[in-house]
Amino acid sequence: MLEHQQPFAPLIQGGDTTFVAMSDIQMTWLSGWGFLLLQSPSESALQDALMSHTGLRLPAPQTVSTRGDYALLWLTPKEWLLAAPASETESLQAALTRQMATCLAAVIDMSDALAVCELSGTRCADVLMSGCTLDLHADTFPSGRCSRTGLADIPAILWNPAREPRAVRCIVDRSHARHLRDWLADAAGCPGLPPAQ
Amino acid sequence: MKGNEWRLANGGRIDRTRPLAFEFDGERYWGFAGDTLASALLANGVRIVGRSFKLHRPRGLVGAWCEEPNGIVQLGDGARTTPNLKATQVELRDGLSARSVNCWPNARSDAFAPLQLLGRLMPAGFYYKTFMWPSWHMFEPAIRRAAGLGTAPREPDPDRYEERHEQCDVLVVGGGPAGLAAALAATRAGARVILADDRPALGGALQETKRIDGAAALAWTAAVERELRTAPNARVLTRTTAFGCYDHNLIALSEKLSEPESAGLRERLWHVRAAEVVVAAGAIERPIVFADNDLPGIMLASAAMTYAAQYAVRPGRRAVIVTSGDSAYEAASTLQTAGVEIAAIVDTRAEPGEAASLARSAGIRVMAGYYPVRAHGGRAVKAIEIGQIGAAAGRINEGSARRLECDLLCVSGGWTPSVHLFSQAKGQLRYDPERAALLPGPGPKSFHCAGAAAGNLALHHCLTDGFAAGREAAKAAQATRDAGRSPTTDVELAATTAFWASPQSSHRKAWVDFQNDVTRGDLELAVRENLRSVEHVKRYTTTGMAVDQGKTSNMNALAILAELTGTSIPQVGNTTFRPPYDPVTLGSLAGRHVGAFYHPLRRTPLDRWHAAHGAVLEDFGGWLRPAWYAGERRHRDDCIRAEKRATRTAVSLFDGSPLGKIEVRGPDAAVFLNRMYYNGMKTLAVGRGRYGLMLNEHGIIIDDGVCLRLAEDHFLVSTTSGGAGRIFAGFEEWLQCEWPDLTVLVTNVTSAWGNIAVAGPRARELLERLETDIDLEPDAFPHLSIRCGRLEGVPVRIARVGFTGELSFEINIPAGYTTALWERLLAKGADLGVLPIGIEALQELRTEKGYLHVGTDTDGRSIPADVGMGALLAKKSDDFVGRRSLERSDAKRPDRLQFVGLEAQDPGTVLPVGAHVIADATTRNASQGYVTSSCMSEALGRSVALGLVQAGQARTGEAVHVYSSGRTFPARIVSPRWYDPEGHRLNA
Repeated sequence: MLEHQQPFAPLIQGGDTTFVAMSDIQMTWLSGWGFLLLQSPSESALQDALMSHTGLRLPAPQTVSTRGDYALLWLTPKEWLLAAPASETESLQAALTRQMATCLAAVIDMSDALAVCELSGTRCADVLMSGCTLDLHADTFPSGRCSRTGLADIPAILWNPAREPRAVRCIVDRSHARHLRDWLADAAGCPGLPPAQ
Repeated sequence: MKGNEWRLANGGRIDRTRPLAFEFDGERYWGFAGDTLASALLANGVRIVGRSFKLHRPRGLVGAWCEEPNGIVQLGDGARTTPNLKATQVELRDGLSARSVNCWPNARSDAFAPLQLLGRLMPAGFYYKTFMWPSWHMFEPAIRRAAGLGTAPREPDPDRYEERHEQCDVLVVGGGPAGLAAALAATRAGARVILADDRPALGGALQETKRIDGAAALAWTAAVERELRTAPNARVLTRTTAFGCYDHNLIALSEKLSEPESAGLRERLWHVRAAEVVVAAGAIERPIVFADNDLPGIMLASAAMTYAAQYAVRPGRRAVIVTSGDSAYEAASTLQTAGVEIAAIVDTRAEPGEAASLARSAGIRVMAGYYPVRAHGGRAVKAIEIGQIGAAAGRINEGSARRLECDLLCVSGGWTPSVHLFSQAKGQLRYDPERAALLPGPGPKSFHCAGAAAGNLALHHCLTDGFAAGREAAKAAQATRDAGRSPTTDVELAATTAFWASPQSSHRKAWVDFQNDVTRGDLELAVRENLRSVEHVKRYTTTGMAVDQGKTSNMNALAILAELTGTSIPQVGNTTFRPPYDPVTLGSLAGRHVGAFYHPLRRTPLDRWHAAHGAVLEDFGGWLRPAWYAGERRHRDDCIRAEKRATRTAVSLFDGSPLGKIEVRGPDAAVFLNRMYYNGMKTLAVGRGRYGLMLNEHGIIIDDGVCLRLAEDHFLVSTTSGGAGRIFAGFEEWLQCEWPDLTVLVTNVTSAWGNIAVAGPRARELLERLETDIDLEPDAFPHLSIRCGRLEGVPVRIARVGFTGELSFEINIPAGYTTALWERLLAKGADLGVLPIGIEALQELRTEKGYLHVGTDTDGRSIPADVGMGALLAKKSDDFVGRRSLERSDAKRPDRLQFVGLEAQDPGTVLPVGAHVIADATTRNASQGYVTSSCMSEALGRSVALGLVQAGQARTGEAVHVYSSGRTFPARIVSPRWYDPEGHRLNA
């Protein structure tokens, strides 16, 4: 068997997933997540499949529905992103694919394609809004909201997971993870990070 | 301390405990914290602060803020030097060093000053008429030096610039009384408010002597500022200019932060999306046009008042005030309090009313019904000649001429509201003859103009107007809490009449635009030459251009044009207001998009391995990829040769992860792809792949790659690296906009999979050493097919495709396993001579094989027939994107550029890429095409090249010449398939 690396693995040294740790802002790669991209025009069939395997409801546009360790992000009118513990993605993919076999659906494992960085602290919105046109203040981007947008000149999905503590998750293509890290750390004015190459 | 002999003993908003030393034009001076460079220069008695643009006339300060046309300076030196700043806006700091632009060695004694004597020879447009032969470009450098502004730094900017996006309910532009009242009302109503003001402190033009709500004006300002700064729903930005309004109320603000010499953040560019905008940007006073009105010592009445009141500087000893309205009377009284002798107030109105009576009772001489005829003086104003307005137009009453001695002449020709943002937002302006101003007319509902920007000059109007605008804006944004009542003050006199230019100012030295040296005579010339449109006159005379964008000159120019053309100001119209309102630095606009953040680079899952193993990484289509592996062999060519040799004779690994991978599934997937590809895809068997071209609607090749069929209703489309996003977006567009009837899902899975190409005669041998359930034998797994299975226990998709011309397996593996698989392949293949190869080797290998590279061997005109695939068109009966364009006569022209091989006569010569193919080596008069790819091939023992040549395919075997940079190489047109043309190695 081959050793598996998480999408942010090339960016960290010695297991420390936190790359900015300032008093008012912290940035950390989230590990252990798996992602399934769900596409289907058959919403009710997908809803049934999700309900029976995760207990999740399809979220309203630009929101996230959560249950236990699962979260379901609305992406487009026929596209959702299911976040689940990495250990469960393979079986979930198989189960959902099986149940959706009779209608058109794609259940695609994107675990290795996406890197997730969580920002927390009082300066979250300030730092993100230096490179994102969305209004990300806590009252206008409350917990349970998500949005497909542009951040730091790359495509990103932003997700506010909880009311407290204040945090925003940025989900980006793994190929952009290095750019995102360098850009975010620079935006935060983090003194400890080596200059971007 | 010496100096500052023009400083008043008391007053002003300067900090007398903090003296600051500075340098101007090489001389050392000092001022106080709170000074601008301009006020400090005035306090030190410096009267000449600049030289005019064209004629190098000595010029003094005219304004006190952004309207200043003359005091243009270059600040600092080295990498942080900043050109073309207005001295009136430069905050004084210790050690500041400034020099006047457009003069040498300094503004006081400028070597170009004799140009003034040639003024008569240099009217408007003289450049266009004079410097025509042999070419303008011959004269341009010298003219730019003589008539130029500051110089740009040569070193990269060491400072940091930031961007910030923000949204709000109400953006208030301007922090004067109207803006403060508006922000107060909107904040109290509960709206999310941003108040932006370009000055270091709020208050705008508020004078200390005023009282608002019973408090001193400045105490009121401080209280409002405190309330706004502590409110959770308001943000106050000072030193922040709202310089542009763009679509959907996107307002751009430029915020200046630290001193230039301090490390760190220098400026921040705000992109504010505002539901409602209150424009309370104030108004700018106008000069009056008369002969020699540009002498140092002639300044706007409001500026003189600001210098005295705010900076405690006495701008002169004996002043004459020339005005057409009430506001300058306040300046007179302020100056008088500051110890300036007021020789007279010259009021162009015959009956100036109450303001004049009040002045007279205060002992000031008021000469009503007089106007300025000409100023006298050399390097500074000494006197003003005035005359009584006569019955006959253009004449003064006989015997009414007077001469008033003065060293300060304050002028006030009325006020121009700063309606720039409103106008940029497509608000219309209307001319109000009573206030002699262009005022905001019908405009966007979300724009509210208030105070002086709406033509209401009096303080009591500004307060009530601003408060109402703020409340209204908040209400429009659904913030309706009770805002309380408006702040109040005493009723003020603020009447004015139109007075633009002295009737006898038809003089070549009556200046309309100080900064660009445009006189009334220049406007007359333009009209004589039949330039009637205000836009044409502006461009011909340059009035209203440059750093100040005509803030003091535009209205006077319009009025004079109206007079000269016998029309009215509304008929003349006004030039377009465009951003920026005030100059913005390029650094601010660039923000953090510099260096590594200029363009985000993508990295493959093997990025860290490549970097640790000597790869030379370069940007290929937005991906950072190994160009070659330097390893222990230092020389680039040696490395590439070894990488190629390993591929041709043993086995190599190539990181193909950026290769675009798009999954297409659904019952209509085959129909859909058959429409997207030039090649037929309907008949593709499950488990097989087919090379295909994708065209745009013009029939032009935009991408190529292998399309693989995983199941009856499931395809995997390979696109060029870097093309995945574009092609995926194209798929979605066709499906969503053109063919919603097709039941198809497309997914871009590029990054989910790592991709390793194992190529070379021993590729199968290497793969067989790994544990897999896929049968790798040629019969079971032929060229152009795909198999899904497990490799070393991990699910993979292996395709028999390649770009090298050798036996090749492309392994697609979940991206997280890529590095582990790569390392295992290297370990298992060490005895086979396996090597990792970079892009350079791959490009040479595919050039030898004659595989075309879209974008390198094709250009924006190439169609399938040009690359030898024209025959397929007749075989495909279904429609596809680009089909109709291939039927155009142009697509069938016989002389199209076609993809061919080019064989240099000397096998040791590598034909230069980009070299032209020519028929006749002696005349070289027509290019018949060019070399697109070229390299030395060890495998073939000679150089190889590909190219695009006119009618190339029919000319196989023909001798041609290849020309580059003065050298000509004899060559022959051949088939592009140099290496293994039968494909034995590929199909092994």
